Amino acid sequence: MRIIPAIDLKDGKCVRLFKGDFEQTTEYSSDPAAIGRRFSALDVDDLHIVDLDGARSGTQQNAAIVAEIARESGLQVQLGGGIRTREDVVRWLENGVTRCVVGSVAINEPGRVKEWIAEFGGDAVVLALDVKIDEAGTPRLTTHGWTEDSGLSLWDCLDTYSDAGAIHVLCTDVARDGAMSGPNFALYAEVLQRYHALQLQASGGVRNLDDLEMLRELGLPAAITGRALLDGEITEAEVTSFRRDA
Amino acid sequence: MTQVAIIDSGGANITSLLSAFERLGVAPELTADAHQIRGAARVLLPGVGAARDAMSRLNKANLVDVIRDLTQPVLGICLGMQLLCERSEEDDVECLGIIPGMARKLPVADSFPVPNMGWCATRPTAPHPILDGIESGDHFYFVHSYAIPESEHTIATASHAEPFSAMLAKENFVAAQFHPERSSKAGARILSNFLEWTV
Repeated sequence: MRIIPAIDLKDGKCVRLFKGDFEQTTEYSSDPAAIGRRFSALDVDDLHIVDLDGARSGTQQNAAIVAEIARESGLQVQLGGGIRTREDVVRWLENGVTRCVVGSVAINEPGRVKEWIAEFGGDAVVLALDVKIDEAGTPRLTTHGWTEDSGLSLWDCLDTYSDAGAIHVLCTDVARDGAMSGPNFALYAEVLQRYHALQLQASGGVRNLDDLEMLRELGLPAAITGRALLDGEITEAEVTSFRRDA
Repeated sequence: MTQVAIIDSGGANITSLLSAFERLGVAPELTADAHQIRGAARVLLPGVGAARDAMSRLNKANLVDVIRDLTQPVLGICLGMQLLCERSEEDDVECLGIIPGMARKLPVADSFPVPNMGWCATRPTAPHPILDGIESGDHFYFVHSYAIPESEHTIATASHAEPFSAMLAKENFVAAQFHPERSSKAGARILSNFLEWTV
């Protein structure tokens, strides 16, 4: 299982990093080259970047910093936040991003995202699907942060996207995200059982090494860790030990 | 003289390839110019997409014989590897025929989805300068639906339901089914070995 560290960009700066970085110096967080080298040294293969400015404004003011992080680190960068048009996708791919992470547009305008998959390949797109489990136990998609419920079941959504050639899916149970109550293991097990061909990325709720080990046991291809790394709950040495051992 | 020429076969997103060489201190030139390709110290044949489209682009650019006649180190990557071989089952298209072999569709099997997309353990099977420092079990990043079966020209293998050629070599031509430019440190090692390799 691959561990994918996550960072957030805001005002051209990296605002989510490992514990200690902010204590050492705040300058560090605005130096994309140093950020790139740091993750490169971690011996991971991918980096998940959330462009908070893009998510808010729909513009790509962080393109240069992302390009430099990608170039310096040599990691496969997947980036989300405010990607709405084909032009957004093209610009990020030209700036060293390997995979564009699409959330609300994937649910609201699936036709558009399927065109991108056809044009740029299944490897260039990650579907970021936030779900809530309804009373009947069916995961249903939510959009616009965690407020609106689209009503569409995750299975219906994944059926059509699988047919369209989607490969990478990042799935988050919003009830677990940030709550430090552990990932929704049952949800991931069911996704994996239904869709063998998907490269599923677990996201949300990862607390510690035990959670990662459980995800690996389930056969998750990848897991994103944000806060647990930031808080030092998961150490760099532990991340390295998980590297591509599946 | 151009240090590294990347053959512009169209369609391929070569940003990550350019960045990978930049990290090694080399600035490759993307070109479809026969003169520049012939004169380059090293040549890369990348490729993303379908074999038929790529071959028809090479034909249109009059590069087929140019590539066949190259005598400097040449590295084919992903579809570029399949183009260096004789044929591809994909659209049943004739390729460059430089390295014996035919690209075959990966078998569909439970828990081995096609395309094969992700990290695969790879094992060197024959000594070659391009494999310097690469150990059995090192992982590389693959994105492909077709593969060349193992042959006497295989220098590294990987497996996805069935074993296939991860790397091929013949004379001044080497080829990788995986993307070295997207394969972390092991991939960077392959590229730096390629820059050092003298035929």
